[in-house]
Amino acid sequence: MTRSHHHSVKLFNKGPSLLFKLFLFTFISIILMGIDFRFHYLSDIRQFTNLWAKPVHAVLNFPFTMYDFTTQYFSNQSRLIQENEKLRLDLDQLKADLKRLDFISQKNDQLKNLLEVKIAYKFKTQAVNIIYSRLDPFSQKIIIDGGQNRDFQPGQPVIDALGLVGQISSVFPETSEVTLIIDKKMSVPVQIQRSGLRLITSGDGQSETITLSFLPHSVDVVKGDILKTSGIDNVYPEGIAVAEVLAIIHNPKSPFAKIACKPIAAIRNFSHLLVVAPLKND
Amino acid sequence: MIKNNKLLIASLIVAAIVNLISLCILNIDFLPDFILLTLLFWLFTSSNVLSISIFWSVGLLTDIFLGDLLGQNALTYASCYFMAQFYKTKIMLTNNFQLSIYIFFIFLGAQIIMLFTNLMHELRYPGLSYFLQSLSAGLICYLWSTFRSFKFDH
Repeated sequence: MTRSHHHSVKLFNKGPSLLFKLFLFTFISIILMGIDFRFHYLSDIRQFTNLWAKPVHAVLNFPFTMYDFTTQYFSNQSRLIQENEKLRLDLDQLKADLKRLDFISQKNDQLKNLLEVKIAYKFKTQAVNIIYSRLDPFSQKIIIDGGQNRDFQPGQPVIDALGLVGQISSVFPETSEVTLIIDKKMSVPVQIQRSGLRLITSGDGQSETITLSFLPHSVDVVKGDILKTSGIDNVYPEGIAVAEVLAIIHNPKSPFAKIACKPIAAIRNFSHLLVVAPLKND
Repeated sequence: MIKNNKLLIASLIVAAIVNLISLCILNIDFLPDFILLTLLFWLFTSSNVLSISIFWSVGLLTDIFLGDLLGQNALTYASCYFMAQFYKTKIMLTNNFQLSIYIFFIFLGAQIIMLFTNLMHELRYPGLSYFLQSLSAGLICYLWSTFRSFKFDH
């Protein structure tokens, strides 16, 4: 009797159906996505989780670091001697080039002074390591060592020895996220070295190329042209190599030519990068 | 059968670490989401322990820790639970190969939802190789069930 009375007190015998629950959770998820996309409130939470995740990444990286260290340690001595000789030759070559460049730079400065053109900036850089690549199939980003602790700011350009790699998009306490120039959302104002024509590149996203869109068929661009930053946006210093023109595609049905370019920086092969300090106009 | 929730939590932590290794260190595109695979494993072996709210909550935590758009993994995991649970009673799974095919289709559904949510906020289409993750999920499930006999929770 007591048991049956106890059962009669229960208000619902059966909970909501599985389909109802799915609709409920879908609704909540869509609301969360909408709010996060619009207001970016997750970035504060990421500041905290990033701190937590860094030691985990360090531990996970340890076997690979050890492997690299061991292989380097046991490198063949003759190979090292050969490399040393080659490096000496390269160094001599570079010294010669540097002297020539110094001369050109001095001459250039004198000419600029004569024309009363003010040298707007001279950029400084900070070396950083790449901690890991964010393997998000939908975007092209990497995580570098150094964030608020090194006064990095979103928007700072990131380069390697060859050219422009990308731009800092998020800064965390000890790390920063860099969006590569091949990301679909990245655009860089550039100038063709040969003709001086100013253009804007955009990342292709899917392949490892960048494109120049909405240019007339008669545009003065040829295969092999080098694109350098134009510096008109006050974000990227002038003259950093960005890409080389690979192909110019003329589609008669389209009023515009499509120009595919290959990034000059070793987008996938680098381990150390340089973060360019924010530009200060004098 | 899960004796207590500690085993479930421990397995999810291990899955999260394996995810981190495969995503961040090894840079392997075709490895599946091990957290989802673990949840599905427990769903098929001890369905009474897991609910759609657990799937959704784990997805939400994944979003927070991976820094993805908040709610996209939560939506995907909840949908996977629905797909797995709704059709489990309607499809006769008699051997491990059939289970692997079933897991493949659940992962394919999950990937399509992820693709849709990412394309909605103007991210790129990663190409057909993206769907290799579903194949590898099915394969891992098959190998695991062959290695260790899978006991379905009917």
